[in-house]
Amino acid sequence: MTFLNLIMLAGLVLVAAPVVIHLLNRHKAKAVEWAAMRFLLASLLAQRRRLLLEEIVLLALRCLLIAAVVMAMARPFLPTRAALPWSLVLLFFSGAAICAGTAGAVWKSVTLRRRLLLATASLLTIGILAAGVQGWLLKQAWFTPSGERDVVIIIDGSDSMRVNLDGRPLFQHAIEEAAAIIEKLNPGDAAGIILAGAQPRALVKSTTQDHAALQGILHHPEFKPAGGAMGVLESLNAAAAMLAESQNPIRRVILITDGQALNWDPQNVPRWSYLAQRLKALTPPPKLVCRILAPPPTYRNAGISGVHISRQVIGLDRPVEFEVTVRNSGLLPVLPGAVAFTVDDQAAGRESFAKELPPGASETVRFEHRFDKPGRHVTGFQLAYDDDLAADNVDSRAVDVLERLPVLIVNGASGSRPFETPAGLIQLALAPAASNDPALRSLIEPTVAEAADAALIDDLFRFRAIVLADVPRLPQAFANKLLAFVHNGGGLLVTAGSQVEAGFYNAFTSRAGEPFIPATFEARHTQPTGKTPLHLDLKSFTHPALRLVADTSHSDAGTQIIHAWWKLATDPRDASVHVCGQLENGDSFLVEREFGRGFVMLSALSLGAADSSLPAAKAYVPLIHEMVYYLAAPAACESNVKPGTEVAFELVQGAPRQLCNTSSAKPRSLSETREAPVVLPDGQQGAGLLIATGDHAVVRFSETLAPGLYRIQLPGNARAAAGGQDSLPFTVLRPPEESVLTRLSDADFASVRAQVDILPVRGQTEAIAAMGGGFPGLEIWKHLALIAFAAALAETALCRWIARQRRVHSAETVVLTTPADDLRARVARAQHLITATAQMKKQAVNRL
Amino acid sequence: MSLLDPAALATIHRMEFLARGVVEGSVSGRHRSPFHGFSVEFAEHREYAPGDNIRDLDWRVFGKTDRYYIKQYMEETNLRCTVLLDASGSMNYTGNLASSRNGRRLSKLDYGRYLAATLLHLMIHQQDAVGLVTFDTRVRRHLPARSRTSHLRVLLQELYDTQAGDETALGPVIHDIAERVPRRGLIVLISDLFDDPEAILKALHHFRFRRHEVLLLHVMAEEELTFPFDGWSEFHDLELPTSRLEIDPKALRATYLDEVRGFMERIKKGCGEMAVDYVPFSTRQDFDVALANYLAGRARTT
Repeated sequence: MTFLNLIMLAGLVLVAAPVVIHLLNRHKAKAVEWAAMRFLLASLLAQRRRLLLEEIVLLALRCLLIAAVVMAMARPFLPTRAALPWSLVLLFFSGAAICAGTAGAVWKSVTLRRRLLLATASLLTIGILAAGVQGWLLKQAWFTPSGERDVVIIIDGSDSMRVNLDGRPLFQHAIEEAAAIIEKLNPGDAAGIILAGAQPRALVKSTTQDHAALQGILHHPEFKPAGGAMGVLESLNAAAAMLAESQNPIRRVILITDGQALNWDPQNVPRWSYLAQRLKALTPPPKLVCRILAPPPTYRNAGISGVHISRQVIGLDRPVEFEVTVRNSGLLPVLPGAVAFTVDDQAAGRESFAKELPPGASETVRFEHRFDKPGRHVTGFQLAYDDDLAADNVDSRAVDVLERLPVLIVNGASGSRPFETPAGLIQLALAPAASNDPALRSLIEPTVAEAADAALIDDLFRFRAIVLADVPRLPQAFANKLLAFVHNGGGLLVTAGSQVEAGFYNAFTSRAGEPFIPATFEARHTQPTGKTPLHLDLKSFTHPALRLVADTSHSDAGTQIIHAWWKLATDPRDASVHVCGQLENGDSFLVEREFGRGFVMLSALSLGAADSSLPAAKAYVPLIHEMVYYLAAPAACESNVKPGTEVAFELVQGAPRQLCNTSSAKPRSLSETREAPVVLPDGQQGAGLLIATGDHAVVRFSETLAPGLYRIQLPGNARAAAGGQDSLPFTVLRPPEESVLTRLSDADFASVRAQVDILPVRGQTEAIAAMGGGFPGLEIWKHLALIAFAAALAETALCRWIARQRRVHSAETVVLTTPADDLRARVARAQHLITATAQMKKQAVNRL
Repeated sequence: MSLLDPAALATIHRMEFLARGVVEGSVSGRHRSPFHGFSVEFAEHREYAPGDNIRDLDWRVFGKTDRYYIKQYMEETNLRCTVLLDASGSMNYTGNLASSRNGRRLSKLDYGRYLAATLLHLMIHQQDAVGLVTFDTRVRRHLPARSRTSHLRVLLQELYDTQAGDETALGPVIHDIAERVPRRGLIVLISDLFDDPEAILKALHHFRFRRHEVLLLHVMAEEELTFPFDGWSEFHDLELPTSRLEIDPKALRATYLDEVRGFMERIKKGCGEMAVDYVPFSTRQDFDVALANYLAGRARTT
């Protein structure tokens, strides 16, 4: 408890008034000579205790009364967060008053009065100090209104805000609190609202004084959570940006959230200190307030936490497996319904659950599907379960199904018979059956070209992977095209046999001088037949592309004899280089480098018959296939993106290709651009940008905040470029952690507070107080005034009662039957007798 | 006989005069004193004169001589009266409500002095023997009973000289006096009785045991009977100056009055049991009126 008008407590001196008056009265005591002491002493002895008690109670009551009045005038205040409980502070003051009163009553006893006065002084000091310190803390923690305000309200728009509390979603609670805050603002104050999803979206350009418009935005029926997870730092930075243009002296930012720990990132010191610096740079710096809404008492939720597609490169030749993980992210065990699998809105499978899922447990269901048409398809997964959060019961993935996967094999060993060269063998491995029967056609379409002819190939981008099979050297133009090809997502496999020129490859760098080939060629070694045969070390095959052949129980790759290989040297400091597998003698077999969006793989063997017996192995075909699939994957379109990513698809002959550098999709002239409507996951319409040039179209869209399925509607002339499809779907991934309502721990919040000055508030009153100025709490002067009144009544009643007990007004004096009275009585009797006798005589006479 | 101060003499004369007035106002008949001897010892015969008490007629003699003779008892003319005056410190209390005499308020001691002087005068002029004992914690002066008129002066002088002493300790002193007074007679005790009532009653019983008639004149100040004080006061004990009490009188008034009342009831009851005449006086009353009333009452009942 503290006092808003602490100065008035100086009036507590008046508490001494009853005591002083009492003492003055006693001081004015008249001296009386008295003889009948024995009776006085006897009566005093009988009443001594009682008299003292009455005096103490009366004086204490009077002192309390005055103390209550003085305290009421000092405007006592109960803050919502008090360091000391209010009853304790009140106890100090009332204790001081009672001690003062008692000291006055026992003034005669010097030791006792000294102790009581000491107690009074100390209790009073402690009380005033406690109240003062609390008042100071209050002023430090809260903000006194002085001037006009700029308030930015950030509302958490993540999926977890859709959970219900008291019959309505937390998001609705947040809207109501935001509306209450805006209502409590003064006319001169300006406010802004930011909806925080993965990326913050400011609903007004800058803070505005049009409170009605803000209320309109808040209560608009289309104002819904953005979905996905909230980017805390992003939204705070957005708020700082909004405040940079404000002019009012007092600035506040309030974040209304459910307190989910996801994306707070408290250990990320650089980001938080950047925010702190940014806030400090604003003058005066705004104060951050965090309003964490109360969590719902129970939480039952099961949702799809992930979808894993077994292959990245999907063709028409084989089925694909979809692994759907369903997780119980709630606090209660659940028995979900079935998972329905749809392909392009057609039912394609259904799996149900047999057992209950305890909290935190996951279960996987699998669907297998073989696509019969190439192009982009939408696979949908729907979990049938009525739980607290419906948003995570639905998921979808857009998959690109390829009709064929063109691979270019550059043959370096010219002149030999086709099936003796590595190129020939690789081609054979990739496309074993050359047939026109669609059912038997394989996905991969290898094309072999001689090294000299390869330079004539114009557009490398129509291939998904390129293999340089023992190629000695390349012309510069082709090398540059290769660089661009890999950089944009294509895959390159270089096999090194007897023909390669080490010097060329070792000098093969990008324009900027970055190394391209994963390792440098040192020397070519051979293993003489006399010595122990050299094999591949399958245990070192850790790379995903080699996973299939690393299985020793099935694969015979480990028993093949290696005759010749190149010794490769890798730079251990280069983080983009990985050794995928080794030979038994420790030399590298396969090395990989990430380059741009694609990969370059270098094999120390030519993969032909000359270097090893590997082509004869059963594992040879899967090995080549896996490496090619791996290399071809990045070029596959990322049709399922993270929230907030700007997507740009280049539509080339039915296979949309995502551009990694969206700036290259800038229009060359206005007449080429058109608007492409985009259907958003909630059914609303957004606008994308379509740049069409002949058969080449690029479509861009950036509002990818909300997770879910999007469809870009393609206008007529772009459809041809898209291979006849009239809409281009893609999905924005939902972060699965959003379903888990782990709240930000106190420790994490404390580490955030250590970096940025952010004040947590509990309850709406505190939030409004933090925004609107003033202190949250309760003023109790009325209560104290009531107590004072009651004390006054009690004092009066007590005085009356005491007077009655003492029979002050009813005590009878000792009356002596004085002889004078007796005389009068006798005279009266005599007179009575005389008159009576006279009457008797008269009556006797009358009778006669 | 000591030289008397003219003012004192005047005072004493005034006392005498008053005493006479008292006596004459209350007595009717030849025997002025309402006090009679109560011995049944026959002394002699005396011829009847009109006005004599019919009760004392000796009818046997009448039968024999056909003349009226009254019996005279030995004590009839030989009443020995001893006045015991309490001169302890507590008797010095005056108060503001006491009656005045000659512009001066009477303390309990003054009051007692007047009462004693009146009675002494009355007795002496009735040819009864009177004596005086003054005491506080012990006997101060003991003037044995004499019937000579000149003895009155001595007694009055002694009364005049008596000043209030220290403390009160009635019980032992009265026992002591009871031993000293030789023959049975009338004992008049004038005191405020500020001592343990049981001790006082025991001492009075001692007198009764020795077959004295006892008359107890209980003198109290009006304040002691009404306790009219108001506002914080510091009460100083008259007998013990160091004993002080700072109280709010209103707080204790009711209990104090209860105490006094209880005390007086106890004394009254005890006296009634012992056939001791108990007369309470308040110094507020004019002593002559008060005493006259008592004497009149007594004359009627005997």
